[in-house]
Amino acid sequence: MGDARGWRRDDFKASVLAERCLRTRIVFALRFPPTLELAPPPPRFLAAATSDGSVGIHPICRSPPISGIAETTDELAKPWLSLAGHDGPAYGLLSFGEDGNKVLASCGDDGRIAIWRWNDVLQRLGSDSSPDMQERPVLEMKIPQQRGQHGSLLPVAEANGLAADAGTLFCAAGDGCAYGWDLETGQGSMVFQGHAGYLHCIASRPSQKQLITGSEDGTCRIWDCRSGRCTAVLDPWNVQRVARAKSRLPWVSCVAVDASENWMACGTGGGCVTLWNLPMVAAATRITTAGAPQDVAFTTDEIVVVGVQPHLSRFTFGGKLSSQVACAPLSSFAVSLHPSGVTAVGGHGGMVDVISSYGSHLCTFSC
Amino acid sequence: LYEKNHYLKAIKTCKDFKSKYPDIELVPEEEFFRDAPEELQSDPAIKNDPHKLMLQRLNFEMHQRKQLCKQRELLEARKKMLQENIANRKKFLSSLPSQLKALKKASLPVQQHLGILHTKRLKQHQLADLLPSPLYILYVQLMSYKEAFGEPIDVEIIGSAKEAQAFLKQSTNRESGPGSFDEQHKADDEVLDDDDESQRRRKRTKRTHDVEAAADAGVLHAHPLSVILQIYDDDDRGGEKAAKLLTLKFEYLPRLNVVCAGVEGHQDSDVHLLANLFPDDAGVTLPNQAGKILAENKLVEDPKRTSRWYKWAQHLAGIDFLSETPQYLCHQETAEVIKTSISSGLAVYRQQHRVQTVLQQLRNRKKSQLALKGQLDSLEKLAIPPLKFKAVHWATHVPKCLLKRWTQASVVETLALESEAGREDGELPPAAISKPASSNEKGASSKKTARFEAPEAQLPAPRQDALQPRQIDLELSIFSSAEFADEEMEECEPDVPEGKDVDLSCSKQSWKDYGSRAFNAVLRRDDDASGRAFELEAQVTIAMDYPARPPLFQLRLLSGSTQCFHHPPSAGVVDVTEARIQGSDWFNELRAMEAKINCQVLEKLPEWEEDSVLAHQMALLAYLFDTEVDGELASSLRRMDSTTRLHRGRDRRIDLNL
Repeated sequence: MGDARGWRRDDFKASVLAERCLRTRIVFALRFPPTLELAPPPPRFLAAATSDGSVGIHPICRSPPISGIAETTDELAKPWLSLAGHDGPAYGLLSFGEDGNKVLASCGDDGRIAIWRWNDVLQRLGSDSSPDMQERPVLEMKIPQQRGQHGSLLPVAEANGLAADAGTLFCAAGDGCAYGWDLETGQGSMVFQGHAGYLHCIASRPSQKQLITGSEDGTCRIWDCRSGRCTAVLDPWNVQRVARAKSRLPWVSCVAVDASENWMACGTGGGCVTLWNLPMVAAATRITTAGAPQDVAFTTDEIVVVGVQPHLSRFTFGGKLSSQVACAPLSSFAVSLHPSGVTAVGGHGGMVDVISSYGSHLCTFSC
Repeated sequence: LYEKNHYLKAIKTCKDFKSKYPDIELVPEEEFFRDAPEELQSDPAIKNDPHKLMLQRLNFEMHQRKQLCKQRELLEARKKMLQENIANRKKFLSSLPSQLKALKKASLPVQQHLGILHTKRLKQHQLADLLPSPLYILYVQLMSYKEAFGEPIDVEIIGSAKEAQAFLKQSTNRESGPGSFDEQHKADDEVLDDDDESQRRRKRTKRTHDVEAAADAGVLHAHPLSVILQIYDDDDRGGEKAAKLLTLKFEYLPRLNVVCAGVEGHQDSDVHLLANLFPDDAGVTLPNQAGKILAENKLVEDPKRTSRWYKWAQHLAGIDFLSETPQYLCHQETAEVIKTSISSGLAVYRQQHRVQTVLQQLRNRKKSQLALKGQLDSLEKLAIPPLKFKAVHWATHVPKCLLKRWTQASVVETLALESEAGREDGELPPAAISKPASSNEKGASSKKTARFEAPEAQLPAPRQDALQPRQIDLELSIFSSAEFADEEMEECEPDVPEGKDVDLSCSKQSWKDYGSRAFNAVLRRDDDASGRAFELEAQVTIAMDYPARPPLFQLRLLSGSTQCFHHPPSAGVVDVTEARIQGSDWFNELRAMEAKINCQVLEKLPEWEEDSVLAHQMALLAYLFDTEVDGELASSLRRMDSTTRLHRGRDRRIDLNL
């Protein structure tokens, strides 16, 4: 933008603005690439979805932690590869599929769901193609627009979360419904309707063909995927099973199912995480967190929670706080676990913090 | 015989008698006969009697001499007269200059009135010859810009000519060898499109000599001459004399080879007026490397010193293309090269419209500072300044909340030296900041009361750069030590070494905050129906490059918690309670508001409304706050209804469609 020599004021203004906007960016979802081994080496990159609608593959640089933090946070870490983005924020990422044919799905505010093959992405990463070129998704789906009172189209509902079981992709949508698509055909096959508020999150329990959704109305619902019926309504705030929500409840912000598919954790905006036993459909533990939780994940024996607080907390199933690691984002929306024990946290400021299994920071960058 | 002898003797004496005037030069006989008047010649005996002739001749002689005497007297009188005359005239002549001077003086008002500053200009030109080259370029360029484009500015040289002459002499004395002389001479002879080229040449030799020679002079000693630039308002006001916007003074420090600029007759608010006119130009560090080395140990920042070495001043003075090579060492060819480089440098100078750019920037700066001052004054009276631009919907919104407080928090002074102390714990990279504080910080934190609580205050850390870094970090340490004192063993990560990379981080971050001011605003909204009160605190940081860098808002909710209506259930299952972080309510909402206020508002404003961006931001803040509170109140009263959605997305942002 120059100085007194060749001054371009508009460029300066734009750069100030761009810098500002960068600070307000939010990372909504993070996913590690799939691995085949049981004890894989730490990952070299991860996929991130941010509030500016971009979905990109970012390197995890393993430079000495401290200087790495200092340098990478100063400037925007350019993604290795940017996948086609969304209009408006990109809210969710999901890595799923059978071994050898894993795919990455993203969803966003524009109600669109895009799917890429990891193999294609990895191939592109290997080649020397320019990072600016965008990879086209192999499959795209759209949330159907609802019609209003007089047949007019309502605003496009945003897609807030993704889940999948064999052959079907589910999406938590802003119109209060969850939608299912058959991945073979790419055709919409199911609609799960019943929540009184828009959906924040979704998780699937493939072994029982069940789907779990969390909503703004403060309830969790368990659905039967075959029939599309709601089998249970849970009130995480009051830790009870209800017929329907009676009073106003804090929204359910996140939900996760563990690997054994026996346990389900969900966080509510009121600031608590509840652990449910799925076979019994009963609450086991209620953990009041310091800030409102915004994403949960399971390791084999722990619940990992991030939220409106600058740390990553791990709780045992009994509700005991087993560890708490400070992380870069002051409010985190995404936590992702890798089999190697590496954890990635993303949130406000567009910041991503990659934490090793020992709790040290591998790298921090903003994207 | 004796007698005879006696007679003979007597005869002899008679014969030998000589008249009293033996050698009276007589007019020769022929002439006598020619010129003598008739009465003298009339005696017939005259021709026969030599005695008579003699007598007559004597008579004539006497007559003639008498006449001559008369003539002489006459002439003498005339001479006297003439002398008198001459004296008179001399007197007149000698009095003439002073009279002229008086005339000149008398004519000055007239000149001023007519706008022909002839005398002044002449004097100025003489002074200009004595200017050091950077100031000369500055002067000439400003002058020519003024004359060519009718820019409403005034350029003036002040300082004592005598000192400057002494300075020049001192430096020329040092010039050794005929080489430099030839150089000058040659340069003088060059026919250049710009007649000042030779001047500059000469000055430059002088300067380079100064740099190496004036070892005894103080580093910060300024050249005796300085250039005063007066900038007037460029708005047309129908012939009426435009209001003076500001007065700048440019000084030249020969030893450091830098040009300093300062505001003349400044008030306190104007101290930083010139800082960051262009990015990364706080004027704290010296622009050239050589100067830095030279002044390294002697450079003690004088807070009273108002003029600083801004980079733009150097650019305006063309220092970037004036080579530093001593002229007298150069051969003719290299001198030629340098000359062309200078003229090409000047060409680039003109092409880049440096004068225009700088003047424009200065004018804009002053105007926006005035506009800002107006807005701040209004805010101090706790009134959100009125908006002229009504096309945005926050402008027409009638706020339900009121501005309860508006105070200046602390003047952010980030001098390079001063920040050294603050940096130790202040300028940690954001990721490191959020880690548990080291023990010594904890000790310090105990003294500090938590004015800002936990994450609200922390959040600014990555964004806020140098603004109150110490405070934030301390607050953080309170929080982190309170929150998980026992979890600290989990941290394998050592803290960032203190004071690491000190200069780097300082110079990198602080220029943006140089001269910036911080204000605290509190908005309050009372809801009679529910009896709840909401208070929102906004910390507003206004940087010097307002409005190009709009004020930064950082928000914090003081009261009006979201969760008060969610009564926790009676424990039926295992219930673990973690201490709640105060201020975590509304975190995302506040961040979304900040994003709108700090970024999105700017895209909605037209160019000409830029100066009142603060007013717009305040209005938008009030609007957003009202909306949030309305939503909060509404949602606590009735059940969520999916058809009238207030929130959207995972971060529950309120869609306002700005």
